[in-house]
Amino acid sequence: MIELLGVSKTYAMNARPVHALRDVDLRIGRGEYVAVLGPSGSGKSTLMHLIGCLDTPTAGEVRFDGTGVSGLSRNELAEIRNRRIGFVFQSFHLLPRATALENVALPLVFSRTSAPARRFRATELLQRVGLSERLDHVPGELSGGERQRVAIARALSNAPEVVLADEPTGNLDSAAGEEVLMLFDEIHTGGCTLIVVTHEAGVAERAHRVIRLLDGRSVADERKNPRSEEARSLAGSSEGGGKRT
Amino acid sequence: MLGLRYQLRDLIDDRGRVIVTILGVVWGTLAVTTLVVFFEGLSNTVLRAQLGMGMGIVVVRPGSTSVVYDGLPSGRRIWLTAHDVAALRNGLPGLTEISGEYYGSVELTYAGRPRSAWFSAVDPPFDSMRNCYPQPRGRFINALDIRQRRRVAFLGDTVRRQVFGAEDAVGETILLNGVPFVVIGVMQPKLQWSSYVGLDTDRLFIPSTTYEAIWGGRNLSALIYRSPPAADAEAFERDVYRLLARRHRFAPEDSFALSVWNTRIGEEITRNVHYGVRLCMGIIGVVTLLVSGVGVGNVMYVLVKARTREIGIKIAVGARPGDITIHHLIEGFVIVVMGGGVGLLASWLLMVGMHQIPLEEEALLYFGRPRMSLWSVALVAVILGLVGLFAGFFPARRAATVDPVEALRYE
Repeated sequence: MIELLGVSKTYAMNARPVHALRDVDLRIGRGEYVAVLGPSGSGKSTLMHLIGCLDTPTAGEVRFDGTGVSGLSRNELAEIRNRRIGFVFQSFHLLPRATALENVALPLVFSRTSAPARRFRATELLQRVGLSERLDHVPGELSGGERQRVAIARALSNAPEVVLADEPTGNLDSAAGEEVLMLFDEIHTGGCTLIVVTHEAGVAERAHRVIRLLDGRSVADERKNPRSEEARSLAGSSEGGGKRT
Repeated sequence: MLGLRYQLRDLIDDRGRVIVTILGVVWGTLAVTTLVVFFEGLSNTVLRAQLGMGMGIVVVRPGSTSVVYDGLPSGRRIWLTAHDVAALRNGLPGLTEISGEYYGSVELTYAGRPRSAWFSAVDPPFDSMRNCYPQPRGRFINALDIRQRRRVAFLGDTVRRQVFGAEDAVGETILLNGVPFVVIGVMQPKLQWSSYVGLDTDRLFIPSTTYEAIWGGRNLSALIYRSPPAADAEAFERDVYRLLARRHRFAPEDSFALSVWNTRIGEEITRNVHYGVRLCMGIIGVVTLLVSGVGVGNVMYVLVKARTREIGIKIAVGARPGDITIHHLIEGFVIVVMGGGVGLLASWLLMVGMHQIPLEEEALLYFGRPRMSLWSVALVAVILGLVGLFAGFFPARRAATVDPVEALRYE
């Protein structure tokens, strides 16, 4: 479903090139639960931005369902981000003046969903993440865990095929972090492809596949405990992606 | 979009900057509207005064021939009579607005007090040509007055005031050189800057036939006509002169035989000056509002900068560049529309306030009692709309090109 072919990303920082990713090959199949594990500066976030169509590679190609994203227009990329991908960020990235309900409805606004349908869907999702009592609270009135649950609900609002999470528990205490991870389990069980970028081994453990990044290179790709036939078949379909240790 | 409510919340959150900007637009709008409205009033007053004697009229007065013609010597005096008026009316199809005029001074007596007054003895079409319209409850000289040689008089506004003071004049009897005349109407006040024998408000009008019957008038002081609207005015005026030349046996090209004053030529200049003033005001208005627009644009840039992260979030969840552009365009537009609305309202209140101030009549007439015409409001509204779009456009474009990865890192 998602393919990275020889992807490199170089930034210019103070006129000096910084190689965030170097020649990364990766295939992620539909329904996988993947953790991208690596220390700070290993290129995890860059990888996520590339997979999430927020950025384009300096070299190589990112393909979404066989289509190279580099050739897509800004509107087409927006369409993919809106309907096929959901983002969960470390620092939540909620609109500060919008209520929980409005934040969750935001992607639906850009998919031209009608106002009543937006409200219905956002309410349903907030109920699902256990925030039915907090619909009209703005982010400032919510705890860290609650904010992240709002962000998760927002990521799910257009029923995306892929959810990308960047250090989703990084700003949370362990209890709130656990709640978030349980939600992720649930999302994955629902058939969604889940890619979690983290530097915490505990978070990566929940995934069925762990890709390790170091200095912009993919240094390991481990699969473990596939819980279902589906996951096993997906693991088979993604062979050849990344390096094995 | 997220809805106007969310956008308003955005603006309220930045209310400090937004209010100052709105005040800037209010001030700009107030200044421009006031300027445009006052100058329009003044310009209209000037135009009205300059055209007060009558629009597109030709005044023909006696003259002397300057060339020998048809065996007749030069220096011959040419007089016009009521027969010329009839001949022109019958000979030139479409000519309905034509009147002879005898003018002079007369002794006017009312309530035993005699005084000197100017008069004009005219025909009914005189009123529309010269804007001598009656005040309510009165009328101008009509065809029946002419036919029956009635002793009726129509008073200029100033004459009425001098003779009757606060009293009602219509229906009263006055003596003109000892002959009783009934007052049938009083002229509405009018501004008049040009004349050949005093202002119309300073005189009284009687039927031409009555004058002929009582005082034996024969030679007209003047003949006034207006070319039919459908006719080519210049050609028509030549036809009139030619017909009179034939009747009085003078050379049609002899321009001294009769003195002709064509107001049409001066009017064109007056109108051009009038449009020039309007254009000037328009340009000043546009420039002033553009300056307000630059202020709005600056604030919008600051708002976009402050919201970089929010813009990044929206792009991440699927906002198209167009969505971001429209959001910020609407914001700039809302600021300008709010400022413009309040500015227009303030201007309107100022006008209403101006109308409450009792000004001396003359001063008032020349200041032109400012009125917000639809024209000026529409002009200001259109410019404001354009300024709003202009002010929002560049910041909105900047917002739409934000790099989401950078924006999400922005604190």
